Amino acid sequence: MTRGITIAVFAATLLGATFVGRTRRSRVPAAEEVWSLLMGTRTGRVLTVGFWAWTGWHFFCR
Amino acid sequence: MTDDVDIIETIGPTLTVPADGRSELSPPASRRAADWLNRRGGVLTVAIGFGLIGGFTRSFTSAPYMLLGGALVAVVIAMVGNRERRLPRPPAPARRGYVVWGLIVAFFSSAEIGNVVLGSGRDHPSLSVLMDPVINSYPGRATALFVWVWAGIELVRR
Repeated sequence: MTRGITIAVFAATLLGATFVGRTRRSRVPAAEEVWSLLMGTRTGRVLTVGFWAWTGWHFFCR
Repeated sequence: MTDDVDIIETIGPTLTVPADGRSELSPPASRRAADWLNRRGGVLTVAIGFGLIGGFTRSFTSAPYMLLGGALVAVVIAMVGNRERRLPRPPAPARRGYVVWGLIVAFFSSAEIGNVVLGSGRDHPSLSVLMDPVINSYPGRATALFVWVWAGIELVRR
């Protein structure tokens, strides 16, 4: 039950922000914009690769 | 008109190759790795093979460390090789709602850290605990590894 609630909250948050970001008059930027901005800087790329490596370790190694 | 002029083809900003195909300067290993990964077939081959082999590994053993460590090294090398053809930085954002995405990241991070601190069990499941039922089977683990390494390769391609 707790697992289901946690997954539902996470998914609803992510999907909600994605949907709001796609609305034309929204002040919230679309996920693609955030991603482009993040990958447009060296710091963002390093952080993203670091996060990617952490997910690999967290889910498949530990 | 071009009889007395050497025709050269330029690949990227630094490497030039004569028209007859003989390369005077061999591209660095990082560039070759990036070139190979930039081909769709190469990406698929790597990602599928990685998932199929990685599906046999188990957590808390040395095998996934070696496998994922190799993938990390390959991605970093290819990313360095790919930096010259990266797209220019996009213009500054017009909208100011980026704080919303920051709050979401903060929410996910604090929930994950909080669950880990509280024991990461049934009552306080962290993300890895949530994924355990999927990752503990061969098909789920192989698929998840395929997705993970595909994401890493896509990072390099940008």
